[in-house]
Amino acid sequence: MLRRIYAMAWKESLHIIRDFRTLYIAFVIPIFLILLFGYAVNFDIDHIQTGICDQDRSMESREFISRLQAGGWFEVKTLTSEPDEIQKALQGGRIRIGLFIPSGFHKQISRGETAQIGAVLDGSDSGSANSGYNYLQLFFNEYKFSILRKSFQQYGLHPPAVPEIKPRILFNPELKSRYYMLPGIIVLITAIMSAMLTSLTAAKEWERGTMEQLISTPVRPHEIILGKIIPYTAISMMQSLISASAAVWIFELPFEGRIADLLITNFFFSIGALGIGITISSVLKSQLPAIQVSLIASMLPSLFFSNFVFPIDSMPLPLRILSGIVPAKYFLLMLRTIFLKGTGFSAYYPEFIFLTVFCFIILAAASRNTPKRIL
Amino acid sequence: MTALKALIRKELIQTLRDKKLRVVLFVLPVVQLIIFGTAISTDVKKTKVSLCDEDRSKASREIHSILTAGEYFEITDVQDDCRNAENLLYVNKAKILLVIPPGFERKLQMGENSPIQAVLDGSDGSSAGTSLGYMLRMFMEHQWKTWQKTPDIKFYSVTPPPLPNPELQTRVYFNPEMESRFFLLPGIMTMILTIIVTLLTAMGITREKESGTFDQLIVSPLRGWELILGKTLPYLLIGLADLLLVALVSKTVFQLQMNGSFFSFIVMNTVYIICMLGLGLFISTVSSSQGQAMMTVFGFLFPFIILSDFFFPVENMPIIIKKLTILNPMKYALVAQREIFLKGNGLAFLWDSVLILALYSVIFLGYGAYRFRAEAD
Repeated sequence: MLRRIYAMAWKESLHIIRDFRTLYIAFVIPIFLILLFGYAVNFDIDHIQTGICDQDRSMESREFISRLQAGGWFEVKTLTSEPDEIQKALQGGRIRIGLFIPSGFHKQISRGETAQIGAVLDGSDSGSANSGYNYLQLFFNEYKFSILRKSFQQYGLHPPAVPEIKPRILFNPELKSRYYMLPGIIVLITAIMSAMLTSLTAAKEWERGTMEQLISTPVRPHEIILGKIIPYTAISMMQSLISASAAVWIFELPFEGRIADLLITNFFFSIGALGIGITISSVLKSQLPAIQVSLIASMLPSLFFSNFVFPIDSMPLPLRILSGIVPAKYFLLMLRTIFLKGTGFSAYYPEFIFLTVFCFIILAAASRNTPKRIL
Repeated sequence: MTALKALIRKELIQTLRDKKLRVVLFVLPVVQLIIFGTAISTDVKKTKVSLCDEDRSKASREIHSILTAGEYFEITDVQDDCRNAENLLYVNKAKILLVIPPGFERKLQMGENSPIQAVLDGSDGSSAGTSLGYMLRMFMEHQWKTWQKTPDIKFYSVTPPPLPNPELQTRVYFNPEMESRFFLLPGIMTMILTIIVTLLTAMGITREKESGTFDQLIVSPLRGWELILGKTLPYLLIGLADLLLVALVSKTVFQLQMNGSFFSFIVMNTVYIICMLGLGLFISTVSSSQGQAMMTVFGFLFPFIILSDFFFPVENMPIIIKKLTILNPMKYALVAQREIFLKGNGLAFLWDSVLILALYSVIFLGYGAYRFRAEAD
């Protein structure tokens, strides 16, 4: 049996080595992606383009503006007293947030009446609108307290003590988006590239008619599958190790854990991802549909159901349940643990067990879909 | 002309006859769209919080109720022993840990500040940052309410002094509920279109090369440009059909309104599809097998998607990369798609994007056709 698996693996390796371009692209794409993500992707929002329409022109309104500028979150692009100018800048996309300070603002403040400041946000980019909204709220709260504190002092009052939160962020104290994105990108690259590499192998043999030849030899289905998987496992692991090293060396992603942990988890995830591709390939038996289905089957879960960018906890219940069978979710958790926390097996053994079980199931599914004899 | 018609017919029949391909072309995009539309939300809700209460007083129970007032936080467990509580974050058992120190209530009553410590897991930073923002805001609102009540008659025999009360009134344009769904759906349409059209063209032509039927086409009386048109027009039709399908599903399932005109929607997308057809054609001329074509397609599409402003804001990218996105036709199509749906901008606003897309179409299709003919000869 081992001899037959070895022969299959050798045959498959020859195929891979002969198609130099595919191999070349298989290694260039991951490096390219990690560089692109590392340099280009940044969710750290600062310098939100802001326009202010100040119709009050008082000491109070100027104080509000200077505080806004000092915070560093907002960059005041337009300062005017014409509301139309703000509207135009917003429509043209030059600013994301427009603030209106109506005349009489300072009077309302000093009389203790409700003094309204209007804020208009560009919701066509809801990502930055959302964070812009949150930052604006935080800034405005701080502003409120500062002027309230001032008038407390003015009247000689002591504000009561209230519960306060003192945050401490572990593992990524500055909340750099790069640190939590890069492990996600390694998962994404490994999942997509692996599934795509194997999605063609079985379909190609069916399209060319060589699968019939293989079946007529003494090689059994699970041996075909194993033989095909073995060389690709090496490629897939190399891909993720290259991406991981690039993340650590070029982008200074901390690596707190052990390399052995990384290798083991990566090994099982790669097999699972390759297994998905080969299963789809042996079910569909033709290359174009196989590629499309594998792309969706690997990209969608690793992008959406892995906690990569979109939190699973806020999804509707059916999707939360669905995400339970997504290996990418577990692998990402393990990678973040290994890279940033440095905790070992004890932190993710349930996830690890799931991953190994998944590998067996997917390989069994692939073997089942490879017939023993020609029908 | 009749030969061209025949080729287009053959191409359409060949593509649509294949049951698997039909599923890939018309069922998968809808499934994709529905999953995207329901799954995507950058809101962070129901974050699990572990509470470590060493005070166990009325004040500490109040913290409990401040935190669970909205739908943002859920207290999953209450620990008494705070010494090892932080360990929960190391072994992935908690995302946020709140530590209420002993003597919390007593200090508050004496007017001293006694901060509660919030320990967050920064390894999942996007949600950690958002949750922290929510938490700070909830506590500030509580503080505001308490402070407003402070100057009572006890201190002032007459009337309490006027305290400032500024208020922020926010309004969101173009997407009032700030639904990330509305923002992402137009992008998904463009992405589905990009992948399907490019893959279909590139792999469709290489498949003929692999099976040898391509040579038969070359020796047929079809002229070069007829061959190119015959190979691309059917995919343009399929691309448009797909586009209308996903737009319809977005409207019926997710209530995404098209604020702009249908005309500008069709014009912009047709130009973009032609552009991607050209890319597919070009890739097919440099690939000898479907595997190679597939790999090359993704070599192009991955950077296109990443730098298209779809998930990853171009605004935040370093200046050099921001400039490089000029080379990305998908970015223009995606941003224009969003403007048509959300801002309701028409061709009067979008003419420059459409022009750039047209330019890319000419370049891709022209070069692709040139190579295609060179190869056919």
